[in-house]
Amino acid sequence: MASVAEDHGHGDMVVHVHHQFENIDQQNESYIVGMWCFLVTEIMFFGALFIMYILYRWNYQQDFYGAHLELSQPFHMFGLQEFPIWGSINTTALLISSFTMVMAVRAAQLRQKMVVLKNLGVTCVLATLFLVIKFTFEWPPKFQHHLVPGPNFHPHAEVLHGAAPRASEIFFSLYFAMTGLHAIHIIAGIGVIGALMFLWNKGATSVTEDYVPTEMIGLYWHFVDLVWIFLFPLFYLIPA
Amino acid sequence: MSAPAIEASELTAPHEEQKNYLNADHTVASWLLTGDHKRIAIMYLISVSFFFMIGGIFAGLIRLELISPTGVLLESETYNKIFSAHGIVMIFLFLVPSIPAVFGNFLLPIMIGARDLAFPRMNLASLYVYWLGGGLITLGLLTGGVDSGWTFYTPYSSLYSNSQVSLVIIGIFFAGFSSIMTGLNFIVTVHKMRAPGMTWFRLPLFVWSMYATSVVMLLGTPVIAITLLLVFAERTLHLGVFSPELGGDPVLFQHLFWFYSHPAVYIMILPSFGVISELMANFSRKRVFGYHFVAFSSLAIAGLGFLVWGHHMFVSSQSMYQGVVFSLVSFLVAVPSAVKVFNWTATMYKGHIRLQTPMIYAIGFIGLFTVGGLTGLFLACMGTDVHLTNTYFIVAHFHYVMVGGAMMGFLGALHFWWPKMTGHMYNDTWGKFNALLVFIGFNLTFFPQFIVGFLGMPRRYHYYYIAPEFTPYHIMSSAGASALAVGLIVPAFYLVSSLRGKRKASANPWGAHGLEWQTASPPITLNFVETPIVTDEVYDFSHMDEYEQRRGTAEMTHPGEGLQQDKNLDIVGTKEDK
Amino acid sequence: MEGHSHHRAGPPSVQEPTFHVHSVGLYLWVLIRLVVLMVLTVVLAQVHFPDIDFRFFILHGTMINNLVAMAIAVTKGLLVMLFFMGYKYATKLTKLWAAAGFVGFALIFLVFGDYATRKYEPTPRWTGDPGSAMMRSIKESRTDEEFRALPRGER
Repeated sequence: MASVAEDHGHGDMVVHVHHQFENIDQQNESYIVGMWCFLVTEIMFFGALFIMYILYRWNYQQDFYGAHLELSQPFHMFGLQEFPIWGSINTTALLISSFTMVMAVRAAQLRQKMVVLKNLGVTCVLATLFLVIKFTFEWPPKFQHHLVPGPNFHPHAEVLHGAAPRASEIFFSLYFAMTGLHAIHIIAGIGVIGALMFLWNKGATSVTEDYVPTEMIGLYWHFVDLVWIFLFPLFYLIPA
Repeated sequence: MSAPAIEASELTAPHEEQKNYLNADHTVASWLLTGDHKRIAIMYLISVSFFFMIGGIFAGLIRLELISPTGVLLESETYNKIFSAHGIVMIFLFLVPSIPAVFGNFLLPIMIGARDLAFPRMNLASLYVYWLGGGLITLGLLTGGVDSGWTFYTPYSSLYSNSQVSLVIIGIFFAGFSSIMTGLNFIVTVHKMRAPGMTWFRLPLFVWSMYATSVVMLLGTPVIAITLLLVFAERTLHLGVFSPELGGDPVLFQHLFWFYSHPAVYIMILPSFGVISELMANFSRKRVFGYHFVAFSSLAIAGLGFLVWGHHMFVSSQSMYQGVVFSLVSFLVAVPSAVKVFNWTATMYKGHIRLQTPMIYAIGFIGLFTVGGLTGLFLACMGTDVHLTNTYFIVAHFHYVMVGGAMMGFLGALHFWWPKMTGHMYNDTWGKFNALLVFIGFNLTFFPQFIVGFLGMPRRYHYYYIAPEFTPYHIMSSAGASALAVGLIVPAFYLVSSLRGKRKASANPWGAHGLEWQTASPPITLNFVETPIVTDEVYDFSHMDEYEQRRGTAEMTHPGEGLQQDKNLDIVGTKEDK
Repeated sequence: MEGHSHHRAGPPSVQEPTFHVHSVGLYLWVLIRLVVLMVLTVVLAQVHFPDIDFRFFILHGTMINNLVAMAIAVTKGLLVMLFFMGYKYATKLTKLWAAAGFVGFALIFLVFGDYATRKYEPTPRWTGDPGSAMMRSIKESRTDEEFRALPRGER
């Protein structure tokens, strides 16, 4: 397993071992493997959606291209036609939040409470920024242009950019389903990180004496980022 | 559950009433907030039995309806709701959780020498989520039910059905999460928490099959979760990804649905395989023949099981070439199952067989599962499947493997580990005759269905007046169903009455091998007084012959003679009160 | 089988865990690469690749776009997984289960075997609606007579 830590001498480094475990390394590895197993289920959960998306995109390539133009803004510089500004800002925000999350885990390893709180706080702020952008700049325009699938789906032709309306409805169904599901995971993540911050602030030994709970939540957050890394090119960067 | 006063001084127990997991604490909160895997298993047992009864009532209604060719009892739409309810309750609320959640939870830590599962609180959460899912499904069934079949094919379930599809889907979603949590717990436990000396190849085969089941649960269940969630979204939010009007493909739903639901049938049968391995070894008093083959075949079934889902879709406009691939792999996946059946039979050969109740169930399993598996081969072959699909042949096939296989395994496990779980011994004569009744009733119910299905009776139809020649088969089937129902209700009586009886079980009433038989019946809360160190191989009956056999038979046939406590083993033997 | 003392009756056991702390620089290095790759993928998405003609099949330019985008996404994903999630320094058991997730995901790709080997034609529409996933009850659909009264082209 892991080698001896580099800087390790910050007072009492002992961790309580739960009754079912024999030693702390067994406990820690069990928690980490358990979290990865949960992420395995999340991979399968999102994976089915990706498969559906790939199938429909393969069958309706032109229509998906036309429909996705609604997700970008025209941008005629540097030889580009369109630039997905909100998507790019969101992606950058999530990447940085992943960084601050891993910094929080590192600080948890070093038992630096204030650094942990700061980094977790920035993670939450960036995640909230992601949600704000999504729910004020990305989704409402779709509602206004009648791009919500269902009985109210009647967009004007120029909004569709040449795509067939039925296939666009599939595109937007998948768009709302996948980004919506991802947003639900972000909201849950903010909640969990908030709870973690609360516990760190209180100094609860369950999170302060062992870095593994923080690491587990970090793993979840990185997974959320990982899903977005794949969602972004699939939805926002469809080639002509 | 107070123990009667123990008279003999043979016992070295310092206090009068043995402390075990059942009487450790009597408050309701201590049960509902427990982390003890054994208590959770008992609560699962009660819940699962309850839902089995509900599903059985629906089955009874189906068989009642089918006695007459014109379907006089129920209207078409009601009948649709009845068979859908039967399928949903039996599959999601009984078969999937049954052996893992009850016996896996109870026995897995004890069999590997651990004090508890890796994540006790997640275990409790899985129970609550199961109750939530079961409650929502029951609510959905009480407020109108679903008429789409347990398979929820789109676009009927997503667009046209006027029934409680949304509510029941949410219930299934939660039941699936319960399943995922159980599987996750088992995987980490088996990897990380084995006692010293318990190497992978000293694990009981029950543990191997629990591990394989957990892998399937973990990888497969999320796919149905998202698929059903999308159907829910289509009904409520109009996100039409399966609807043909938009250019969506309903067959895609079938692909994703069966991607889980075929591995799901392996979730249902693999634990039974594990139980049968245990029963075969212990009641033949012989090591399972080809232990490694049986262990690896569990993993092979789990793996190959993910590659065969298309055999449910041969006639659904799926590509014929893809169908060929699925057909081939379906034949392949029969091989590991057959390996197990051969190995169990070889285990019995020249073994010292004792035909007690669990063994009757195990032997019955081998026969019934073989029939079910072989008839599955007819269905794996694309050509014959075109004729047989959507007929009663399929119904008979899956009931042979599910009921004749998985349910017999559940009953065998219940009868085998009942003394361990409760500390009481039931009347074995009742058990044996009941097993025989179940076997006969089962065959009478489902064998005619093979014939009538081959002759053309479609499934999910409640009338067949255009083919009145089917009537004798249906009548036979319904008669058998009555016998089967009796056979399934009777154990409730003799098992529950054993709890109030005075026949207490020793730690090892069967003379069986395994760590669970080295601890008290019922076990103490932390399972073992001291963590065991495993030194002998699995199913090693050579050292146990001297006293265990006497002990086992003595306990069974000469109750009341009192047994000496073996000081080397953590056993509490009790003298029976007459 | 002899016992092995693990007395639970005393105070809960406390022990020192062993783990590895990485430098801030490593994580910063990964972050910079991630952002650079993101910019790259946005730019390359709009580059018009020419079609490449192999003898037996044509690799369309848009397909190259997709491959490039996926390759960059996979690289970003690997960076997040290996370093941020600690896969590179994890135990073998952790690596096994992390990889198992992606193996499981790969299994679903077999679905495409079906769509690749048959002519997938979306159902021609059978109502007058321009296409919306409205929930309908069976009563609202057209009756047989109405359906048969329609000319063939509009069914």
